[in-house]
Amino acid sequence: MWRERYMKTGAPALGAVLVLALAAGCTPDGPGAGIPTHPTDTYSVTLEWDAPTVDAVGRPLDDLSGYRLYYREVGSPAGSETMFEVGAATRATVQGLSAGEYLFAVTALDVLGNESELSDALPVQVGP
Amino acid sequence: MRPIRFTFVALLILTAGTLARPHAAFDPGKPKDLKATADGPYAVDLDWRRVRGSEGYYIYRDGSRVAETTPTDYRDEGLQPATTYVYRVSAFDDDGDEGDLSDAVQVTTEALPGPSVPDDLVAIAVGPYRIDLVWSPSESESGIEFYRVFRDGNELATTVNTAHEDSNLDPETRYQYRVLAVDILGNESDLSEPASATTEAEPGPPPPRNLTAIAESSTQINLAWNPPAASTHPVQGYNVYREGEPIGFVLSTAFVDTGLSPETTYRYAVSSVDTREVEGELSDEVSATTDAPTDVIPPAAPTGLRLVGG
Repeated sequence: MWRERYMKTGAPALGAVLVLALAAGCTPDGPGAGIPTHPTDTYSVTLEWDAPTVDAVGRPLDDLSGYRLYYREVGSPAGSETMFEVGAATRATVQGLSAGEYLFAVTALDVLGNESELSDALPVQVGP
Repeated sequence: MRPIRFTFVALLILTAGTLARPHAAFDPGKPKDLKATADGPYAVDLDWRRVRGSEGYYIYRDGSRVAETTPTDYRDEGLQPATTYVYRVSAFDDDGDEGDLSDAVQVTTEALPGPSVPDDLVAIAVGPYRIDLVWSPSESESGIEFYRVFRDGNELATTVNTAHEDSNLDPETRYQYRVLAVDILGNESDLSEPASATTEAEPGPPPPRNLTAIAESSTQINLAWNPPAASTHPVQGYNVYREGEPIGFVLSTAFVDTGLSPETTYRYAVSSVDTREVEGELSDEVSATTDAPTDVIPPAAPTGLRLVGG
């Protein structure tokens, strides 16, 4: 699943947004925040997205319950992605990331547990 | 001539002897040809041949003098119906001397008419075990004592009323009835015209109680109920109806109706079936609405995923 969606949606965008991502939202964690990096420093990434207003076939959506956030490091094998249950908010922060290039995507959930397809993947360069 | 003279003299002597006694016995001879005729239930008419020299007559009924009369007939009234009386008559002269009694005659007054035949007999089945009878009262001179009720030729009951309730009958059976009246004197009327009725079919068991219908999903409704409180014959199972159509027979007190359409209201009723395979009345209807179809369509994927300042 991940492989399919990643290949389909994430890959073409990866290079294009890489530089922007680096500039916009990567923050060093802990005492070293704001200070030039050390190889063992970790970083956090905060993401936002827009809620869907319809279901997968275009009907008004009235049972949206929350989101899941997926990410993995570029180059790691498919199926190795990490998942967070975000809850109902459309904003999430991932902490403890090592420096590297990551792909992020989110899905929406309804009250019955039906999960949407992955959003377009967002590549993020984490770290210095 | 002597014999003639003797006779004359003898007559004179006899006559003189008679006249000489101031209260000589009156002996005009007893009244003859007494006839007695009953005139209805309460009177007897008497008449007889006149007795020469009599002043009047005494009437005797059953050995007792009941009247005296001058003419040679008499109407004896105030009698009892259907009763036999014995009459004699005697003559008396102006001295009050009475002659011999006539021969006895016997007469019987007419009986009162019996009661009229009960009319308008009607038989009405009241349920499976009872037929009610009703009829018009008979007319009677003496008064009605009671009625005899016959069922299929056999005496069933007597009643002083003009109605009778025949119970403990068999269901779905035809019975024929007739009635006759008996008056106070014991006279019976003829039998009435027959009236028939057929008892109703035996009812089935009572319907189940507390039927409930609860939607289990978008395609299933669960029914449950309690057995009837009491049934003449044991209940062996239940017929389940949806929208008035039978959809199943179960031995238990529950039924699962599947394959239904989502968001649709269905009406159910259940009847009891007893061990004779007789089905009773339907229970009150209950209804339930299936759930909305299960949503298997996920939301659209979120959009606009973006990095924001941490």
